Amino acid sequence: MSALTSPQASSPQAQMDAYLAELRVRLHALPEDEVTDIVEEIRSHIHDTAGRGGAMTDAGVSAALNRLGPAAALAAGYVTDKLLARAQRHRMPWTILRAVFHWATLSAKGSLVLLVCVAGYLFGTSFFIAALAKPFYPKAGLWLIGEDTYSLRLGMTNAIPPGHELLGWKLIPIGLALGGGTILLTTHFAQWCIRRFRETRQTSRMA
Amino acid sequence: MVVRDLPAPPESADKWEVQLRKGCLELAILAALWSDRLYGLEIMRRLADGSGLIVPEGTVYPLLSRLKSEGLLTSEWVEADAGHPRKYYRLTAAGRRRVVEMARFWESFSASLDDLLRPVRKEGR
Repeated sequence: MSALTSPQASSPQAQMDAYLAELRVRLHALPEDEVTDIVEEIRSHIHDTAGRGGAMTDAGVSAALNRLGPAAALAAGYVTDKLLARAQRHRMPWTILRAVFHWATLSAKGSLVLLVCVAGYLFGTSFFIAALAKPFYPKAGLWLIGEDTYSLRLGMTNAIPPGHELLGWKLIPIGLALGGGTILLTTHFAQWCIRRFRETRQTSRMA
Repeated sequence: MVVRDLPAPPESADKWEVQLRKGCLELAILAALWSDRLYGLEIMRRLADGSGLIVPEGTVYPLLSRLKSEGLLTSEWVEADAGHPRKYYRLTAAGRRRVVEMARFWESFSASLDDLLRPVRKEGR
């Protein structure tokens, strides 16, 4: 549990407020009214479980917060599914990366999907940008700079690079196709993983 | 009775058992709401009392939120005697249809599994 929710807080009330404040911060990806609704529901739950027949005690609040688990994990349970659902609807790389990033904080499978997505989008965008830059910066292109070493250059500096260029003007169609194709493929892969993940699980994996 | 006073599932509960419980959680929550509106803690108590389904508290609330966003539940805040408001959930018409479908599947599934288990039970005694 983070420092914010440690039992050093001065009173049961302060301890609960610190936990809820952290929860609120961690839920920032959701709309404000939803965040308030969630925070108030958890506050009500703590009131119900922290005191036996009335006033809350320090020990009661500590135990109640322990049973709820760290605020970060609780927030992830809410946020991840919402973001994944949004990523399934809107196919923008940014939405997908954001959702998969949250997923990655929860499971190894999510981390793996994140790794593939980041690699795919980086590879795809590099080729796409190089193709777009070619008409303005003729040095942009795929260069062979060593025996087996390739370098993708955007050609925006005037320095004459070592090695020789491989694709020439063919970079434009190849770059656009390869870049666009990789971005599309990465998006499809991510959505397939998200769909499978959401279908096979019934609940968040916090146990 | 308070959720924390109930016996915890046995330490030896293996992965299969955990997965099975998790898989049933959605059906159990929808079924618990069949005839009453309930707030989160009441739902957990009902699951623990009725089916021994003891679930981490931090799991139930996000799940309720998801079921609500899927249109299976609605919620309302109610001022309670306890001095603080509570968020009550109830099934929507779609939620009622869903739980009926799930219950129907559960019955046929458990009946066919029961047939398979008959010889195991006979010799396992």
